[in-house]
Amino acid sequence: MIQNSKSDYQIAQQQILDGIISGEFDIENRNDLGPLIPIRLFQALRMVALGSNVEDILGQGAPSLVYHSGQSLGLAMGQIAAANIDKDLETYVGKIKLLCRQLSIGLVVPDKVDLSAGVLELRVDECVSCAGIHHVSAPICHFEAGMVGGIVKTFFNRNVKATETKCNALGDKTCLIRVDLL
Amino acid sequence: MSSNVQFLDPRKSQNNEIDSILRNLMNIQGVSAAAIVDSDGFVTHIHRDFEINTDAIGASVQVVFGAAAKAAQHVGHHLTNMVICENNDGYILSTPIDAGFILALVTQREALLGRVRFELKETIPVLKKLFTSYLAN
Repeated sequence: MIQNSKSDYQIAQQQILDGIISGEFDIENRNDLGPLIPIRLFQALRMVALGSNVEDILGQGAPSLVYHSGQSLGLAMGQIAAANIDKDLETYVGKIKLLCRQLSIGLVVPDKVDLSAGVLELRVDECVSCAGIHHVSAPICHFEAGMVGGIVKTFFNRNVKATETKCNALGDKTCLIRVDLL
Repeated sequence: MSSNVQFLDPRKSQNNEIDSILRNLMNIQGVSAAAIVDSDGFVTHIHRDFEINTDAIGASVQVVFGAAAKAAQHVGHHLTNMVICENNDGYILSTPIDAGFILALVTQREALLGRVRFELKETIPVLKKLFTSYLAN
């Protein structure tokens, strides 16, 4: 048996991120079904497997796990977007918007950028996690908050705190994520 | 799932009191880090005498505390007041404050666990009072 220091999940993660980086969304072994899945299946994975099931085991630790998972994706996306742009924020945001659209994560729109105050607010319209979900009592897109945090953290190379302040599932029509540069 | 909208801005001067409390905890023999972790696993305040990946430790503290608290519920122990993680080289102690915030202490092996635990229990009511007033504003 070949000894490998990476876990199987890490091996799968690398292949998934490589696929995203390549910009090639076709996928092998899906000749008939193709690369797209119904959004409800994604939401089942996000809100059940990585939501209520995790909450059953971790209780109040669940949101931090979800946030941390989103941040890992955001860091990877940030590295993709930061390549060859010479630290230009506008280009970086443009590439992130495109990437989020290509991956159907949502339509990312910068709502407020106040670098002197160290605050950015990004809207995620048509958020993949909470579209079609209603009547929750608090924002539920911890994954997207972490993702946006990871994206901003990569560009500024600073610690950040991302907080979802509006959520479509609360009836806000969009998800708004405030990022504080620390 | 709980809200992640509670935000304690570590840049604000009103948090000097929290920093002072963490500094005092660092003066206990064998304590090598003292941190406040919010409900998203974000480290809002930290004092330490060694390098720590704050993102990773914050999430881990929340996950470990959450899992331990769930286990306690399963056996009818109700509320969890403290989680103590005994490791080869020291301890990690986690105690809930308010609104999902946790105070975590990292110690070296030679720390006197009873003393650390006592100081932690003495500190929590003071922190609770501070957080209640901060989060209300």
